[in-house]
Amino acid sequence: MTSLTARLPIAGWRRSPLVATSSVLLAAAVVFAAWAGLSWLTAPRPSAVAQARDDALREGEQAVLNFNTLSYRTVSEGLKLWEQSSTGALHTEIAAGRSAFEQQITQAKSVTTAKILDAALTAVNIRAGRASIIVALQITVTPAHGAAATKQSRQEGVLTRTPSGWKLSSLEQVPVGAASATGPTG
Amino acid sequence: MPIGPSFRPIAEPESAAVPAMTEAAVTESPEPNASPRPRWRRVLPVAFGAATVVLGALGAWAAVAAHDLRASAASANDALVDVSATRAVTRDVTTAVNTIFSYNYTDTARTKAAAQRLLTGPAIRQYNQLFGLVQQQAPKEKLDVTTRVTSIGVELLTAGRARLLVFANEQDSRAGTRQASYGGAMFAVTAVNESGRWLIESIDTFTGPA
Repeated sequence: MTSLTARLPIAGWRRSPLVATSSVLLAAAVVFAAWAGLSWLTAPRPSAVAQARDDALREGEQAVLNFNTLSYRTVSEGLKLWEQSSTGALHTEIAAGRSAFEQQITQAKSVTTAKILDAALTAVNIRAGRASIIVALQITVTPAHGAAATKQSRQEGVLTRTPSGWKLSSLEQVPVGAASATGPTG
Repeated sequence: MPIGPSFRPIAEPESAAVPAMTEAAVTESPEPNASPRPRWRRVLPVAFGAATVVLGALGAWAAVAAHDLRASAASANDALVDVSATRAVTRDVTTAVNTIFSYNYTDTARTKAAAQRLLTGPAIRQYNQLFGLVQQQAPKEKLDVTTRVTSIGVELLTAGRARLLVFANEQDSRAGTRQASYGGAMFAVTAVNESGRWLIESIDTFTGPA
């Protein structure tokens, strides 16, 4: 052991200022890199849930807007957009009732436009790829004859993640007073 | 190299592997001794310098990245991400909305008093103005109003502030009659966290200029 240490260049250490300086700088760099690395490792990461929430809300809002926009002049395109904005049961429903609905709108000559007043997710499950959305809307319906009517609408939907983004698998108008149908008659 | 002998320890006697290992150790050791001293004095600072630059660059990158991550986390929206905080603000705002918009004509003062504890800032003035009308009308019409939040979603949530979208149903009944009317409301609420409790700071009913 003693013979080994004697052979090592430790004796010359002090005599070389360049080696000494570079060693000190390297030591400082090691300490700095360790500190910065630790700081980076312990820094909070943007969560997958936040990303999914933002995507689902943005795409959900657009899908709900699509579902509340329809003009008799462009029924075919409008309904195609409905199909593209939906998945699952809702998609099946639209595909099935499309031709009847198309005829109905064309005859009524109505134009429906909507504006999103506000929207929020009430739940999101990234593993299941599902989210629930509530949307406050202002809907304007312009009939063939007469003045346009504007009303506020409360809608509730379920979003399902598909390979091409979040789509509506259900969308409903929130009923006013769940008890209104059965309550007073009892 | 060390794999060689370990492949056949069963076939070969153990002694065969031992000399091979020691041989390798012996042949390696003379090499460092052979190199002259001036060489490491020239090589070492260069190697250390290179390592210093690499570590310094890595450290600088990590420090900047860590700073950015912390900065974005500080202003991050925790809605639905922080499950317990989301539940807390949802619960507090639901209770507050149910309480402040439910009243009985016989004791409107009770609702008003409760509201003063559940609201804060501009919402107090906004509410008291509105409730002044209620206190005039309710006894005349013998109104009993029950409001229940049906859907509520947190849009934005930080440590101190939150914005929620609320759907609520209202059941109005008049004493003496068996009639009841129903109404639905939708509004956005801004809530602030005051010492652990979420208080409603403002209510937006979307009736303002579009």
